[in-house]
Amino acid sequence: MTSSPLLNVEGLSKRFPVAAPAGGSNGNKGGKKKAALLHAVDDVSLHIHPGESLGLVGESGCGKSTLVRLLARLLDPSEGRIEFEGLDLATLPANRFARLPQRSWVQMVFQDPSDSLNPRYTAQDTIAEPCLLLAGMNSSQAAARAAEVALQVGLPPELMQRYPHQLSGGQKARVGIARALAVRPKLLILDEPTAALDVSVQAVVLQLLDKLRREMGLATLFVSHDLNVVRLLTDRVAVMYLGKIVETGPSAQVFEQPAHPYTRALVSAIPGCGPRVRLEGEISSPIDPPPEVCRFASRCPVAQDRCSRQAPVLQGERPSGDSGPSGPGARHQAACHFTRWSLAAAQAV
Amino acid sequence: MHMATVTPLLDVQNFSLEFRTRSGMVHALQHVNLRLNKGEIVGLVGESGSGKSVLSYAMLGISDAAARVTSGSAHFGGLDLLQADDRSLADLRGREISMIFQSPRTALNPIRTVGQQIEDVLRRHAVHTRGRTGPDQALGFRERAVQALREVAIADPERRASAYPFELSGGMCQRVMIAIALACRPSLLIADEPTTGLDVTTQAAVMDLITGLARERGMATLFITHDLGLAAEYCDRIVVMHAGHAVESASTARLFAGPRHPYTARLMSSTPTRDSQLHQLHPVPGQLPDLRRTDLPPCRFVERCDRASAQCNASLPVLDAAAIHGVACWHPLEPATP
Repeated sequence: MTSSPLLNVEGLSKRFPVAAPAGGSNGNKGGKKKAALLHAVDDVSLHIHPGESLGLVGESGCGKSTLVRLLARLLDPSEGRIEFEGLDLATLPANRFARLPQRSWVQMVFQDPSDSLNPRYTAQDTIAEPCLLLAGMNSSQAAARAAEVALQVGLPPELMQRYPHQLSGGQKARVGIARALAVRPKLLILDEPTAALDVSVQAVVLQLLDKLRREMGLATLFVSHDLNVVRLLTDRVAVMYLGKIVETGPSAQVFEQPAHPYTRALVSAIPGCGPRVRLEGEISSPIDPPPEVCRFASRCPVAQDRCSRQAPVLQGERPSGDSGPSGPGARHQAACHFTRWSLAAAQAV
Repeated sequence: MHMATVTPLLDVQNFSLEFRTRSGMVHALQHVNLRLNKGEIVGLVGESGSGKSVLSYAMLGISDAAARVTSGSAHFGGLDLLQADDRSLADLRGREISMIFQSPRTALNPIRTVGQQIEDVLRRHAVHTRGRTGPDQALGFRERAVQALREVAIADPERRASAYPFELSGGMCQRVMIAIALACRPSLLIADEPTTGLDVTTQAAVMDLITGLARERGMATLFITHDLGLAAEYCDRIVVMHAGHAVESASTARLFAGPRHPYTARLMSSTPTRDSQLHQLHPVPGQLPDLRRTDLPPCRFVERCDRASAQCNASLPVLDAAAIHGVACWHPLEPATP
């Protein structure tokens, strides 16, 4: 793609100080505690173009939510840049960001619509609130805008005066989406938007999200652990494991020909996807991980000695027939010594 | 066409249950027929509010106080579950019928170690020697608890036995739940959405574990889920529920080759699969009917159904739970051609 990205994230890291026991999680009663750092997001780079949909997948605890909170500027990063249309948002402290006009650029749809709606606000109040707080509208303008978005997301006007407990799951999901769209964001972050919904409702909401995205030319970051859903709704996908992005590429290609062993295991765990890649071993600790060890090595079915001596970096596949350098520009990249293209490159040397 | 005349392990017939609530009587289950044979893994599939969990709670005699059984029977082995007194049900639970609950973090006791919680079950039923021969027989409760953790593939079980639930990951807590449920080697396991909230890789590992142990021990399993894809992967037979009715029952292969109830077909076409495209997903129109209504039609899907006729508003055919492919519908879809 030649257009400049809407969002460009470079070397983003977030480390939380923890009072970690030196050994495992238990069994050291009275043992000495030393200050340590939990590497929740570690040197992550990604970009989203206007109108593009990026999927973010990974297990719970892999840092997805922390990354999302960094991008939504609810958390301050330890390092790195979050460039939004050329402006580095990372330098704006999170506690001030809430009151800045840039707040409306990035909006979020939260996981469980029942938990993320104020039980004492009607649908109308919920959708109008960001217009009042962020868009500087007066109450009649906000009400008009709320009615307009409600129409876009297919929320019937007669439901606007209802409270969350009077709405069905699908209707609550629509309220959450309308609230996020009310201030015309440039980037919409969807955090497991359908995880709490039944399949029959999920299909409606997915189709709605896709329609809105196309109509409004909205860039979206779609976070989910349901890979079938991610595949349907995204152009590109990034797979995260313990704070690092381990594979990224066009969604169809990543799911059909996963390059990283972790992605292979993820894809094979989708019901009905043939032979299972079993992951043995335990997830290594995100607390002060040794930088030279591949984070996935402890569970990896193809790990070798080299993986604990040299951590792999994201490396791209050369487009077929292209003899140019493989590198960060490539569309499909994975952080593993044993991808098809890493092996091919090693052989060429 | 009936299956061989074996006595089913669990036989639920014409089972109806309602809840008295402030806003009226909720007709949660109506004329439900369900059979489970020994060693069989059956998936009970339906959306939220379809009555899957209510049915399983009723089998264990742990229904809410506002619940009342209004018709039908439920037999487990030779025992009439609806007539049995509290004492014999208490003896049965955890020993013959066990349950894995939906959310392990809320189902486990937060202030007791997981080892103690497994020991509790063993002590209650005093069965640490049951079903075991050889050197195992001499094991004490503590050793048996550790053994139970080992059987669910928890690494370093001796140390983990003294961990509290908050110290373990979600997948690990679910394994502990399974260890508790299976500690007494029950002949029927009810697993209520055992993988909700778990990651796909963990989900696969937990399902492999449950079904693996079930096959190894010949344990019948009722697997409650809203995920048709997951049920397809692990179950011998699937029973589909909609709004308190069991609407279809068939072997997994048959059901997926050709669903006969319009609801099942709709449910399948609304589930994203590996190959589906977004525009190919067909949501189920309408919503579950309000189960408090006094004018509920005989077929509770009739208002969402495109095959409905006047007959559907007059009566409903009975689902034959023993049939090879049972369906409660007057206008079912054509069966799959073999």
